[in-house]
Amino acid sequence: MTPGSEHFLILSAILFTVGALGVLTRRDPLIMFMSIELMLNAVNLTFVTFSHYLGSADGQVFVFIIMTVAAAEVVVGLALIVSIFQRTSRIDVDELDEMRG
Amino acid sequence: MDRLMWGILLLPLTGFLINSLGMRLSNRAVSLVGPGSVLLAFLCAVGSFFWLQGQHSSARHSDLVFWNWTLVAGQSRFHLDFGLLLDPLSSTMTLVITGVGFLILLYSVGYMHGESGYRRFFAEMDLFIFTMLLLVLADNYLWLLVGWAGVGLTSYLLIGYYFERPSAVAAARKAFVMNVIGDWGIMVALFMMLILFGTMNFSGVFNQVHTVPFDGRIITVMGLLLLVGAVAKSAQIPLYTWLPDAMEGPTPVSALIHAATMVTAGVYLVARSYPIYQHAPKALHVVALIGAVGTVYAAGMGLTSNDIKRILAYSTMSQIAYMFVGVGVAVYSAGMLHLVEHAFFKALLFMGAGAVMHAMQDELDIRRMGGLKEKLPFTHLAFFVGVLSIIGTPLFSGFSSKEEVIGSAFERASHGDPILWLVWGLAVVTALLTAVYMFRVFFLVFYGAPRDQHLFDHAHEAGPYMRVPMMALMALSVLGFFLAIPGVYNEMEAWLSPVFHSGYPGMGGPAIEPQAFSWISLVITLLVTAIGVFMAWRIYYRREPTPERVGAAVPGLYRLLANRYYMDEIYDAVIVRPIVFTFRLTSRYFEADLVDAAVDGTGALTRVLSGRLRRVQTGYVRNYALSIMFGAVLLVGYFIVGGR
Repeated sequence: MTPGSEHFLILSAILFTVGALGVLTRRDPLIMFMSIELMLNAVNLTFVTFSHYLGSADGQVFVFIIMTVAAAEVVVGLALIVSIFQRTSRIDVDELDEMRG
Repeated sequence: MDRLMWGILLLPLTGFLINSLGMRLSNRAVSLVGPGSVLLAFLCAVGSFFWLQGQHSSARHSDLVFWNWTLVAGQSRFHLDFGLLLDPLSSTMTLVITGVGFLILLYSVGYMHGESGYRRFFAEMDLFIFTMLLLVLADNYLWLLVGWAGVGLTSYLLIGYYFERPSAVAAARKAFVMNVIGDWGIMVALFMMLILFGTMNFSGVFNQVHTVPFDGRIITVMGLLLLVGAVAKSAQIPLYTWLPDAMEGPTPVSALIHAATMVTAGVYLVARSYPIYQHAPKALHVVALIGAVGTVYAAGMGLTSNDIKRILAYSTMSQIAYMFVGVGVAVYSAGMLHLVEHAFFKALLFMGAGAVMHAMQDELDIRRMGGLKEKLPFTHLAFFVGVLSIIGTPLFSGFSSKEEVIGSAFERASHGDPILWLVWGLAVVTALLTAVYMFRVFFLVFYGAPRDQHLFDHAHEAGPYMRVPMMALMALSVLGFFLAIPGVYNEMEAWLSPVFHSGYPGMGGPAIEPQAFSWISLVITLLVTAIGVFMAWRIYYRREPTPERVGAAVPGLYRLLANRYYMDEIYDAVIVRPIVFTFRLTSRYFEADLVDAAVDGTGALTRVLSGRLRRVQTGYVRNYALSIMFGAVLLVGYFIVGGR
């Protein structure tokens, strides 16, 4: 049985849900980052699937852009994590609540 | 020619810039640049004077326009030329300002020696001379006002030269505020010109004065508004109280600004605006009356004051009032002649006072002086020449100009202007008072027994930097006599006549008379002056009767004069206190209860309203992420379910 478009979309939905739950439940920023990457790539998979299904290259162009942005975001995010770590020596996002109203 | 005129104006400005920006200039360099730049400007002024004399008398007028300003707004059109105006009137003024100014700056080199802020002093003096020259060289009223305000500013700065003394600061502020009242008057007059004539150029205004409707009432108002400015700047009634206080400044400042030049700017303004006053005979009468009352009024205060500089300040006020009488009876050249000669002898008197102060360790009270003739023979001689000049002794400068002024008033009065009899009478009474109070100072300072032995023993004659300018001014005070000999000839009148007879169209009002001469007036004036000298000699030299007995004979009058007519107290009670009281009230009730309450209330309201909302900002990343998620789900759901 060759996988059809619907299989890819289901996989993508599962990946996205896993990523979202990871962001919402985990307190380690590194894990949160990985979860965000998971969500982004789930979206990428959706784009590629629809691109293939519709026979258009538009979706794949978006994928490249998302990958580029994701790379840049990781750079900034990791730099933030490093500097937070230098300051507190523990990494727990729930302790970073200085901006509480 | 153009270069000379620019030189007159810009050389003192250059001196100011060098002195104010040159942080590392040595005192020697400062004292070279300060007077030097003014000396060069004086040479330029002399050059342009001879250039003017070389012209035919009808062509003695040069307007060096360098910028045009034209505004067209709908129907109305406004045009203004900015330029330097050279005619006999402004040439005379530039000669006085730069010539006397240079001598006083030279004197300052000796007088200010060792003072802190030496460079600041010379920078500000140069700036003053620049603004004063701008005032007299301007060819339109707007530019004149720039110079006018500029001299007000530099006068403020120099009165407050000793800014660590609270009294000096208060005096500076008082002078500034009173001068601004005058600036206001001129400004309103300028707005009237703008509306009526569409220009502020002298020639443009003067050519159109006769076209104004309402039989001269508007022009009278304009003349009176200009007079407000003149009165404030020249320290005449009622805006005079700043001048005695202005003596807080260094003595050379008093000599230059508050005697020789700036305070005479009001006379210049009236003389310059003569076509306006020719159309407003009532305004001209007010000028003459303010002058006449001012002569006696100021002389009265001079009689009882014990501060040598204040006495000279009152005599300045009194002499400027004479100039007002001169221009007020439409004999403008008499007023200008007195302006020039007054600059000579009053600068000399102030220099003499400065030399006395220098010798007496800055003592100002004439009751502690006495017998200084033997210690200060040179200063004694210089002061004597100044006193003889100011009381109008023949063969000294004040004689010719004062006789011209009083004689002109006499002639105008006897030719059908009866109100001027009052003016003449007051002017003659002042001649007597002037002789009394000037010789009072002279006898008390230089004769009799020394009243403070310690000060007397340490008295010493001033140095050469102070003596040379005094010698020059002594020569000028004598030579000034030959500018005009009453009844024989009048160089000043001839020189200025192209200005005052240039015949603008429709010249109305009293005729501009040549300086009149009357034997009767001359003899009476000389007689009362002699009586005054005799009285001063009896009271202050022979001391029979003693001054105390004379004062006790008229206790009420004496107290009135000694307290300066209580005018400072009256101004304080009528103007200053109500204003301070009102502002206290507004600061208490309006500021605190209304403005502050509104501002604080805005903040408090925001705080209360946001008290609940701030809880939303938990600071936990996942809460924010969840709300983003929630929003995304809502959006997607919207598009899936019904949004298409």
